[in-house]
Amino acid sequence: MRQAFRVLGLVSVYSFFVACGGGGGGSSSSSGSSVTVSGVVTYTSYQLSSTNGIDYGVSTEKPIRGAVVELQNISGTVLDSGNTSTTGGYSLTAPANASVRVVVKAALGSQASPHTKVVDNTNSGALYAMPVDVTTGTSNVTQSFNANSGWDGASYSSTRAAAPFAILDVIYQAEQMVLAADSSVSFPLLLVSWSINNIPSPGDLTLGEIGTSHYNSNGQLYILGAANLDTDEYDTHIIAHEWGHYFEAKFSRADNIGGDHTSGDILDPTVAFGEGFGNALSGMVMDDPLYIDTAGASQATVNINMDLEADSVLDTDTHAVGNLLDGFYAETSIQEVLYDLYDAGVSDDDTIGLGFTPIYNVLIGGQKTTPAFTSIFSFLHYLKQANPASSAAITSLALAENIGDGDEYEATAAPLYTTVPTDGTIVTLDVDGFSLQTWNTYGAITATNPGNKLFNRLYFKFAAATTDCYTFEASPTAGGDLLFYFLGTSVNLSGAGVVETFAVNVQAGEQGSFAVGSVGGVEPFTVRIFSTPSAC
Amino acid sequence: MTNKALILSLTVFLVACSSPPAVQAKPSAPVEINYSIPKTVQAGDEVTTVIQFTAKTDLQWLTVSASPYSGIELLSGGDRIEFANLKTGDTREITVNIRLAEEVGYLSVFATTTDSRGKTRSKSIAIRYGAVGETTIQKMRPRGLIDNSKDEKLILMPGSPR
Repeated sequence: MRQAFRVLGLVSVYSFFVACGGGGGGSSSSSGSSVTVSGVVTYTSYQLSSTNGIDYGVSTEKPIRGAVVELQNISGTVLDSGNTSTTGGYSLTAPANASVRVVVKAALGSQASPHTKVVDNTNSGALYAMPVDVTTGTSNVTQSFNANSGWDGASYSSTRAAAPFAILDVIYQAEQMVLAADSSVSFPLLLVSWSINNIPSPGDLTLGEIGTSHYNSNGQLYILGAANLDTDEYDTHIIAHEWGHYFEAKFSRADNIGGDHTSGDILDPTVAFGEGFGNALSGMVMDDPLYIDTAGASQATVNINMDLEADSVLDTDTHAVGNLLDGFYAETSIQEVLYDLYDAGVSDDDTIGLGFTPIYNVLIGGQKTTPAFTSIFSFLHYLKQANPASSAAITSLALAENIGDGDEYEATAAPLYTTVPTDGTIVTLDVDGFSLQTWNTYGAITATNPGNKLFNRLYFKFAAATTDCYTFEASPTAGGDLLFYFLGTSVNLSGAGVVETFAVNVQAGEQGSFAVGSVGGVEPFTVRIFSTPSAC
Repeated sequence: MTNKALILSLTVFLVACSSPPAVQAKPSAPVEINYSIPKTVQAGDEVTTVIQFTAKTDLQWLTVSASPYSGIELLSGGDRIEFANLKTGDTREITVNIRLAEEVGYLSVFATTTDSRGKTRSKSIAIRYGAVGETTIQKMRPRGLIDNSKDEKLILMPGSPR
């Protein structure tokens, strides 16, 4: 192969609130010592242009959906709480003739324990909230309010209250899509860190130096908010993309090792899948294949403009090294395959349209437990297993993106994994017959960065002949520093020039895989697996 | 042991030995931006910075610029410059001179790439000068931070009645 190319549980709550009305402040008659305070809460949103970024001339007030809403007394004690409805409605019980405060929090889930919270990483992780004070009498009160953007026509000159709720609403939509596929889902805690101080400079997260919008393996999402440089709160597809990383990590399995990536990169297959999936999921969540990343002065520049539905790379386009840009290593290929598998209808340009549920089922099923590293190969393998009637169409769709048919590991015609016997045989050659080494063909391996491009690390698979405790060993043959990877986690147990080993019990017939990379440069090495009954 | 069980056992084994957290970022433009700045820069200091742009794919055009974002004064450089016909790995550079006006300052850097098919993508970064101290921390702290009855820290943002 290298020769060719070196909620939520809110349903009942929603049902209750759907009837809630909106409109301006007002009152109606009540009985007893309590009244109802109700209304609609919204946030200011803007249309995105694929050429001019955020179009501040086209604004709408969208409902804040599913958010935690509380009614507090003057001391801050919570008297009643709930969640806003699908139309942003709320209805809470308040004492008559009292001063109270309605507080809408940028949080989804239960009032006692929200599962998604938009917080300020530059301010002690404080949760964003929007209060409105209300004075009750003896009649019910209607009080609707909006989170303004802070845009005055030329700049952000006042509090950007809409931003946390704009982010929250994309996540609400993502959760609804998942709940439609599986109503039993409960969402693990997600902290979404957004701040006007979040700037595209790497450094101290608590100072807003987040590098770029990202999800990290600590399970947190960071979103840019640097006005006139790069803001992402209105870039819906970016929010959904990063939420996709959370979803993949928490509900499926992400062996994605992360790192910088762009179209045209020849990526490690786990990275290509993770990023392509994130892009495709953003189109699914927003029901819109146009992915727009705005930036620059007045947010009027477009950093990225992708049509997930389009074939964005010519079938003949090649990388500088010579191989086709389309393939299992290209995030654009993967996003297009996944989005095409999902979408249907008049705008669809292919013959298949599975919707999200079959995709979801694979992600929480085979893709989560596959003995291979997570890639487009593993995903398609289990998707075809679960949808045999669509198998040929799926294969055809993948082939159109230069993704060959095969098994959960690789394409049959271009194998990626080197098989390692478990009898102690020292393996010195890869599946293509080259001496084992890491490669910098598509991206550098530096002193601190092992790289995330294809062949920066090599893949291996095994099938245990007998039940035993096996030791996995990678030996540098030129004094280099090797890394073991298992399921996305890198392991550097020893250091330069030292044999890396780990031991684990494996059952007879069981399959598995691992990868070997390096830091400090390309490194030759050998691998072997051997029985060590006393090591486990 | 099932495959899943194997996965779990290995995960448990590896947790103690793992590398720093991986970051999964939004897509970017096919250009790498590198620079180096002195470790100690103080308010009033003038600093010359060479910013290098390396093409990660063949580019018809690379357009770059730099401008003050906050806390700095741009003394020279940073004007919009277009470079034509870069091959993968080719590097171009610009030089900017700044004066740090505050404890910490940032320089905005923009790079727009046009690939061989005419497709454009942009990348924006910020270069930090100076070291963060109490002045900066106080400046970042917005008003309205409170603790409510559950000791939950909230940032209260005004709602606009409708």
